[in-house]
Amino acid sequence: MIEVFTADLALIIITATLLAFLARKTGQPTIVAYIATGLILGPGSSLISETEVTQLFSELGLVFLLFLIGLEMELEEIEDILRPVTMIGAIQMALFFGLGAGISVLLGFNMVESLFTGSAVMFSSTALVVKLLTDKDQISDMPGRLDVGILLVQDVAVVVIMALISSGLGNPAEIVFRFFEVLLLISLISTISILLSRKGLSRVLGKVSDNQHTLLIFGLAWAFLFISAAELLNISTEIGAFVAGVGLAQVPYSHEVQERVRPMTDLFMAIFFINFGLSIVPEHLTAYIFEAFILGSILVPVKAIAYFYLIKHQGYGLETSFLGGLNMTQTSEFSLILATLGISTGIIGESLLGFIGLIALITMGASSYLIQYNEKLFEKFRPYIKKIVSENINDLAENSRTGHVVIVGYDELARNTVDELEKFFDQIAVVDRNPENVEELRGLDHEYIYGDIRHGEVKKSASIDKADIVISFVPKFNLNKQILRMCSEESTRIVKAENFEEASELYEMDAHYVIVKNMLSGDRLGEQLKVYLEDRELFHQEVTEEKKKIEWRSRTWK
Amino acid sequence: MEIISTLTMIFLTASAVLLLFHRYDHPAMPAYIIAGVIVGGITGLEPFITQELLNGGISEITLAEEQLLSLAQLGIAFLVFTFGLKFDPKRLKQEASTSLDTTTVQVFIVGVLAYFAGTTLGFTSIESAVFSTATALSSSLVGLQLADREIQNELLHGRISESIHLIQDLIGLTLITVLFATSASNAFYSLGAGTLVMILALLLREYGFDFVAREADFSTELMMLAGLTSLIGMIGLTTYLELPMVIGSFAAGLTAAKFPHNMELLDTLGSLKDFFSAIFFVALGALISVPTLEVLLAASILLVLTSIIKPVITYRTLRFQGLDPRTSMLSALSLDQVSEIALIIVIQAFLANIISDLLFQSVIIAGTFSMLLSSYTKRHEERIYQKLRPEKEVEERISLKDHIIVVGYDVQGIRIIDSLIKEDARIAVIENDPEKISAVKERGLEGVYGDIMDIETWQEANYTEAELIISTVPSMKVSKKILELGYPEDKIVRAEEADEASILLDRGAMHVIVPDIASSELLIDHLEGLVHNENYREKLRRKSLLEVREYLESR
Repeated sequence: MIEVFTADLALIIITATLLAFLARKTGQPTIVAYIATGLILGPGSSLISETEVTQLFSELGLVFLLFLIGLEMELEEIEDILRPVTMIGAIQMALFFGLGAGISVLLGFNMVESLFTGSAVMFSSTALVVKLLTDKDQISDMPGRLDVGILLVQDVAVVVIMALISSGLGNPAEIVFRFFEVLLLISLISTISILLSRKGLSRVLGKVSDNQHTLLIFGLAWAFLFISAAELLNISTEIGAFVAGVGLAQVPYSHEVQERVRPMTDLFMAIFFINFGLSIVPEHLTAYIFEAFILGSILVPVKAIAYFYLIKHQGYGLETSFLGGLNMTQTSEFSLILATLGISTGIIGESLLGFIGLIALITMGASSYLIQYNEKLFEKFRPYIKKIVSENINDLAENSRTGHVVIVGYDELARNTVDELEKFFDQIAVVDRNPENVEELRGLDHEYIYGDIRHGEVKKSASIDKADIVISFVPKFNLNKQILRMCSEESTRIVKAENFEEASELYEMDAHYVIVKNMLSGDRLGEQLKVYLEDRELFHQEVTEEKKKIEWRSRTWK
Repeated sequence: MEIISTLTMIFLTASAVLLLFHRYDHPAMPAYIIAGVIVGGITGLEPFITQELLNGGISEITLAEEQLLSLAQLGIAFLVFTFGLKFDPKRLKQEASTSLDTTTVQVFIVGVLAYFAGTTLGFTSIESAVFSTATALSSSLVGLQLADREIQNELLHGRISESIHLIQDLIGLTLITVLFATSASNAFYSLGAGTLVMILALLLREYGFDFVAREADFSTELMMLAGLTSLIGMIGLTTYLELPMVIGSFAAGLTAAKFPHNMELLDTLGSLKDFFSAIFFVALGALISVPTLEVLLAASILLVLTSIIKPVITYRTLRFQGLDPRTSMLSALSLDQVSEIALIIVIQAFLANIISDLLFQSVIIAGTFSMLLSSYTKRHEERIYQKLRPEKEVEERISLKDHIIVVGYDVQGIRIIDSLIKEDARIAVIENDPEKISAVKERGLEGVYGDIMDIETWQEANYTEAELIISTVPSMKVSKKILELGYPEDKIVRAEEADEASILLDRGAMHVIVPDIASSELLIDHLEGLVHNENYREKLRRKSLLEVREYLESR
């Protein structure tokens, strides 16, 4: 019987968990914990090497990651950064290619090796940047968006280069031909993806949108379709996944799919980084330690500075440029993949893999900390930067607002209440994650944020911690406890509960009022019945108002 | 990666079948199995479980097939893990004595019948034991999925089904432990070891998990890792103790079965479970080959036992315990499938060479059909009930006139009755939950115990001379039935949504309680107060808090 649950796997997971908890406690990014797990268990003690399961998961990890990234690419949203990131991406790649190759020559490597190193180090790590920025809720801020855009441009370049290498470096004509072939194929499946999704997918998804489970399966089927297609066309599976994601992103239900795919991606990515650590062969590491440290320590600051100027040149503000640059100082996991590919086609030797791998380790480790503390670093360096460069733009429009109402969840009760609330408050934000409400909520006057209030970006967007009144219409105990914790002391907090036990506990947590599902309506009917028993006419009058509301609701709601 | 094309085929086929099923509201599991049959048919994936593999020889399966099997195994692990996670002893307690008695009787009788049927068919004793397990236990996944709305709305038969399902899960686990023990004495050891593992899990749940959750500090990533560690740790433990893997998975789920952490874990690990378990069920389907006559025979017998005999026995037992015909029948009908635990037992037993291919195939086939049938019976349960129900004996009419009949003694009903009592109204309560009827009678009110859909119940409540009927039952069927009654003119019913309410108003309801609309009026009043009055907030909080406490104490 195939043994999935080997002692090796157990050791990996347990170590990873312990280190991750430790990392959390000491304020470190969890990625470091995962890489460390791999290093400790692999080269560190030669306990285990990659198992089949970890291999499989880490390959799936990268694929799912790109699917997830694709899902975030709503075309309207990336339109405004398309030009800048393409410019930055192209220039930056040329720049670091030259830098990497040049320094390698100076360090004593031969021409082929230096060119290879140059092409390996010019990328930044999609996995690392996306993960860390998402953890810090900075992925939808301007620097985050720019970085993701640049990384995607790089991903396209990676694909092209990989295709070139694997078809062997023949004559220049072949290379150029292949280059355009790949580009064409990518555009082709992207177009198909987007067209298909607009025409067919949204209807299909609409039918099953009420079932989270089925939605996930459909999303995965869609993704795998394009992944397979990409494989058949000899483009990388990651690009296939990305294209699938982009297609799906144009459909409203993409958010639900995102939410469902995210935990899977988290797990697979964790294993990816663990695998990364495991795959380092100790001997290869030591071959070029000195050189790796030199190149690494040059790359990090130079990348930061170069990106800073490049971004600023495109017209963005100081903070955006600084943060955007600081996030991208590492080299990519793709450098390892490229190196492996290079070895298998005989272009480079094994020790170069160690060299490139060590650079990746160094820069990833360093940049994890840089990203972790990016905002604090900006605060520290701001006075110095201001002296050197002039600041005239502030594009990090802070979504700061005060004096507003935040509503979580949108059920029938909410629907009725919000209408009335508009009479007393101008600033109402509705946070809801039900795809069925999307159309209705988009059509209303107040602000609408689609998503789960527990997710960082959503929380920030709604400014729930600065709200005056917070009302949760979602009768989920756990969620409401978390919401209560998010609110400020001065706010008025109203939540919903399924039963009285939960209500009691929520009061303990300083809720001001707890809506218990059937209690209010029972009370109301009780009052109405009093009138019924005393004065039939009056009762009918009172009830007519409510009945009108019902009729109105039933017509507008469908 | 070769696995990519396999996974693509799996998910595309699964999606196609799911889409088809969605129109008929069928559950997902049979869809996957059928998708598996299709996939298996196309690719010939099935032969990879060869005799060599079974005998531990070197197999020639490809890397993709190996990876697929790994993923499928993870499916089992995650599936049973989520069972453990959702296992809430409190929900078990709610109809505990009824369910416990019913389950014991039903499992015993059906089990014994099935065992004899098995031996008659020529199975070995172990095989017959597996056969009877497959019939006796019902599926939590399917059964509960179908009953979701009822459980949500706290209808009696929903609660009964839920606790019966939970008890059967426990029985299933015990059976797994025993079945995979290699001899009689070993069985006792296994039971003992298994119980110890469960106790360990419960201890960890009590004392360990809060600590872990606090350290995780709301990070879903860390919680997920903790859940995985628990899973792999427990599986390691059970492997070491030579117990079946599913015991470990369940125990792992149990360690985290503390609310609200289990919900968090379900959110994150839920997708993983969906992913892997889909692969598992598809793989299961792929293992089915064209059935022989013997397989069909065994499968049909299993189907008859599961879909007909089991519900009948359950029904009788519940009736014997004093429940009304409708609740009994609806509960019984929700149990008419084969459990997915049985499917897991069967594949593990097959791969461990304990049972024959014949039994394996028949259980899977019968299981799939029973799940499809089950969703059919669910959708048409009212009609089935109407066709099969017994004649009701007419009880004496109550002697009230010009009274108000309140249907349903739940939170809403109680508050309505409280208000009515203050106005000295005459009240009669109709309820189908015997415990609630006792509560009603203890309060000194007139109570009528019976099924709302039976005219005899209304006759007993003397509806022709009533002034007003108020129904708090959140069911369109019930509301429509009430509106069909000739008397009285004034009827107030309940609907959950505005468009349903509109329909009921058209059918003659004097008024419809749409809890969300009605509540909003009050809520808005409160909000107005909050805006205009500084002290309102604190007063409201204090008053509401006291009300809640009072209510809790009076229960």
